[in-house]
Amino acid sequence: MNHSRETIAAIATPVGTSGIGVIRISGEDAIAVCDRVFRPHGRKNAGRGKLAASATHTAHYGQILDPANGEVLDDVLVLVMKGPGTYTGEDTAEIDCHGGIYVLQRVLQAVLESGARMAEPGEFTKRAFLNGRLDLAQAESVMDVISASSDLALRAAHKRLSGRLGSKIDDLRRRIMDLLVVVEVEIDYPEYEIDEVEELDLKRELDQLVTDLDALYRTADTGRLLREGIRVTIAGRPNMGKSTLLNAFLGEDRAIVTNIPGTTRDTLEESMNLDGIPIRLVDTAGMRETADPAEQQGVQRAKDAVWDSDLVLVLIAADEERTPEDEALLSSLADSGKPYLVVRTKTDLAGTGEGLAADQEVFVSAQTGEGLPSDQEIQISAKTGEGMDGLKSRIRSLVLSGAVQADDGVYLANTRQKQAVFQALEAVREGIVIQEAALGTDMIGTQLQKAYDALGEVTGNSVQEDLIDTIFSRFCLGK
Amino acid sequence: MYREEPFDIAVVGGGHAGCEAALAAARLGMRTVLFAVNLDSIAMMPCNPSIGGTSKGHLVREIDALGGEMGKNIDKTYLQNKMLNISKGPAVHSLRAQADKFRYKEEMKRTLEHTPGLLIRQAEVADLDVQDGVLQGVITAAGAYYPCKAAVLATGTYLQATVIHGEYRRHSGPNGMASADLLTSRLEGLGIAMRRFKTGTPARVDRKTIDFSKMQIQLGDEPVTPFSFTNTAEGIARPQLPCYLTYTTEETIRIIRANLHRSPLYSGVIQGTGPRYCPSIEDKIVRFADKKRHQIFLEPEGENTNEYYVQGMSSSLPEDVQRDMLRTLIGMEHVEVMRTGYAIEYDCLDPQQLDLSLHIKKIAGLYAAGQINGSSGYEEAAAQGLMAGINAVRYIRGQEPFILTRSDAYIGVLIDDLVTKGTNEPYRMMTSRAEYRLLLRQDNADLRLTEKGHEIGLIDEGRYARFLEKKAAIEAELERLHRTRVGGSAEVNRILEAAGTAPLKMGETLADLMKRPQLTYEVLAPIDPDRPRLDPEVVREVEIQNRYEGYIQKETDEVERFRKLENRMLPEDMDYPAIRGLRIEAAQKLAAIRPASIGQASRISGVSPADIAVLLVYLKQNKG
Repeated sequence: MNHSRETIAAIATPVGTSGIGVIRISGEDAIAVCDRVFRPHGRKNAGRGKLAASATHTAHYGQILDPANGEVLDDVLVLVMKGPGTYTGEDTAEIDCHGGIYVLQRVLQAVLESGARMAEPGEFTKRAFLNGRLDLAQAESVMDVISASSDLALRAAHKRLSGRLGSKIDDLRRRIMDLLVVVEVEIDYPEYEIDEVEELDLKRELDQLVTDLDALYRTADTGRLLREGIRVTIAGRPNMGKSTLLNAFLGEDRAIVTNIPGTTRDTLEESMNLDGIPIRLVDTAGMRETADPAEQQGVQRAKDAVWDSDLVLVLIAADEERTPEDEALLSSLADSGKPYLVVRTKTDLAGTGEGLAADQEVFVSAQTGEGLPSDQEIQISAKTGEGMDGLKSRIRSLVLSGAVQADDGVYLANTRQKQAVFQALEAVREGIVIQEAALGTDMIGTQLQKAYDALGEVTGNSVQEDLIDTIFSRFCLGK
Repeated sequence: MYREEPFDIAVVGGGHAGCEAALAAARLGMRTVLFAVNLDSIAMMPCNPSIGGTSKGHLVREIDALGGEMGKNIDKTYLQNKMLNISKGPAVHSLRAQADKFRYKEEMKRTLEHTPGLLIRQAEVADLDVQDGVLQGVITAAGAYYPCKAAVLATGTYLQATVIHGEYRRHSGPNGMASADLLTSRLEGLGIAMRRFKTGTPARVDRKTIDFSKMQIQLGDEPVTPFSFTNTAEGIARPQLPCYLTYTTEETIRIIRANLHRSPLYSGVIQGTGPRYCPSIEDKIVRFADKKRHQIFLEPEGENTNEYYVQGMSSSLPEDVQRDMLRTLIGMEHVEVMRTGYAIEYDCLDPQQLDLSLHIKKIAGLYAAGQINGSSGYEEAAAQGLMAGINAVRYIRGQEPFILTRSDAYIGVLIDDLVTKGTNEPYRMMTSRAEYRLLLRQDNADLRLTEKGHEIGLIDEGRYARFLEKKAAIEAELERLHRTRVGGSAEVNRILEAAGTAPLKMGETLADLMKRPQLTYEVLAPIDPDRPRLDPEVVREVEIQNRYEGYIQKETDEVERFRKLENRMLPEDMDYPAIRGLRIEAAQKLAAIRPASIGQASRISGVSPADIAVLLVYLKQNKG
């Protein structure tokens, strides 16, 4: 059985803060694809087929060039392994990069533009199995890998809905559908007079789509989120000093700080650098039951932010008892295994009470987060700066020990999106070629369907269903 | 109850699905009986007087290429014939004919009557004899038991049908025919889930009372294009009748608005799910409130009748409102209504209970086709009828079912959509439903399907030999065009420049030259003196295949990838809930629909790519 028709690529090492990472390419054209972006040491150009001509299981030193402009992206070591003696059983190339996560994703992008497609969740393992490289007894664990990684991908897809790139893609997708529906309605209902059909300037619309898709593709910086690093969310009830803590981290009055509970109604995001570790700090609205719809939305966003983060700081004022709301948040964090720290704030207001020690015991016993030190509770006064160094060094050690890692999901979701934009762009460009050759609007419709599908979600309706729904909701048709 | 002689196949219903099913079965040598509640309803067209149109025209040509009857019958009885969408690409050229409804059904009934081994019987089938999940016979309301090995249910809109307009509601089938009231409960008793759909039809009006001079005339093509590959344009040429286009006025909208409270659609009387693509005029006015006027087409119902069909005015408003609103149309100020428009509700089944051969999974030997499967349209019905008839025969003979995939034919798309995705409203074929539409053209339906029709046994040797000749001629000519090079002589360049295209600097093949939009086969005649004499149909096919070569090739490659998944069969006894890694929702859907292949499974809503990957791994694990 040969499943190696399509060549796939992905980052094979977990995306952390370390600068080293491996990109794995597998499939029939894996080595050819790699050749297109690889310039061997001492040569002038990429794409001379040196890797293809080399023996299996050999290492090659050189550079990866951006195929668009020849820019050097990274110094790399490429391992060439020819099937069937590889993990997947297919021809495989692995690129060892050194230039950090941003470079890593640009190298992957270059590979994806040179003929590979992004691997599906668990696809390397699936191919390994289907190509007979894994034992039959391992089948069930293979299925587990697939379903687990697809859960991750789904979470990532969910996450992207709130992202800026995501909303731009949704916007473009809607525009493609707006155009597609006019093209298709004219095909399926030729005898109807439809204003939109008569007014349609197809060429202008296609050109505009290409311009916008191209702009998005070139500016969509999939590394952005990662360069901004580990996502740390500040959560807790209202008026626990969340915004004060954010400002203390950043050293400026970024969030509005008042002592009126519920001031931060939305989530705020800021980047900071903690001794070289990129951190994305997220300040959230205080979590409480409320009837105010605007505040309810803020609370919902706060909950979403908690689940999207890599580390949660749960703030409780040092002079207050834990409430059932605190308990609920802490126990759900503990159940989910998401790393968190309990931060006792406003120690400047609290006396050095015995109550604290009692609280501390409770927290320790409630803690089940794996890989975290058990004494997580930290006491600070963001106002005076007391305890801030301790908090920073705790975060730092959690990251360096690997207990807290950036979620690959955001990264994957963004790389996928960028590739989707690329595919959509190619399809619409083909549509323009078809239009210029006057080959027929039906084929332009087909290209627009492809573009729409490329920008689509992992799950959800097919383009045909969406199209037919849109046709009948927009146009008045039928006998 | 009394016992009749045994039959091989019983077809329940004499509409477009029933006719094709019965003809296919009888022509394949089966002793066949077709039941209709009224023999005058055989091949009746209770709604629009036309066959074909976008995507439906494709279906008719496919039916014809497989040896079905619809194309031949409309070629005998058309009043007007027109190729739609000729300004667009070849994938969506669509043939449509206005039919003489009366002659259409008369001709079809005559064909049935002259088919050996086929009995037509007026009777309502009330009961099915099913023993241990296997169909044994059908029983009529009058108590006749007909033993049979297989049956095709093609009950159209007759099951427990109710006709409604305004406050009037009557238990009736379409067009005043009796409904069939007994079969639904029997089907439910057999564990088949039934549901209720709704459709409708506009009024028919008297030609004498229409002022066509105020309308736009719409003529057919000259020469016409036959639907059937067995016919020629000259062979079926005859004088054509026009249609007319008119419009609603502000007064139309006012009257409808003023009477919405009397519409059964809005008063809640009508419960069934209606099709979005066939909305009533009151629906259009409510949903598209800012549209000032609506197009209305007047189409003749036949040559020897004054009745005209008012396309665009489907309605279930009360009779008096229908009359008043029709009189607000331009040119219809004095119109007389001959038949009132109505909505009709009927029972049908959830098509996800069928497999791809249109066999009802629960009962061996029982097939279903047409509106009972939730589709709408004469052509959709006929296509299913043909397939169900063929497959009932193959079931009796112990042969593999005959299944067309989404890359073979619109028929494949139609059946796969119904069976795999199900439908919540009467399903209409559309070109945008076909993902490989550049390959599934109406011009090449014969090239795609004649071979299969011949294998099945519905295409006779004479027709097959002519088909092979045509196919060989196309291939030979394409090969010659790719082989023949033309140099850039002064003479050649003069012709190219006259046609408005760039002169040649170097030699080029005729095939490449013909890819230029300006250079048709005909234009190139002077620089291609050695060309063979070819049939115009062959030339047209050569032009399309050559001009779209690159895109056809790309789509063919996509089909290759698609086929890989379609060919990965899933065993019927898969225990989906027990497969590790499959999400619960996916396992439930897969267990209910029991897809035949990985490809089909991937189109079930709620089954994700990860679920498919898990299935692939599972298959491999269990095959070793």
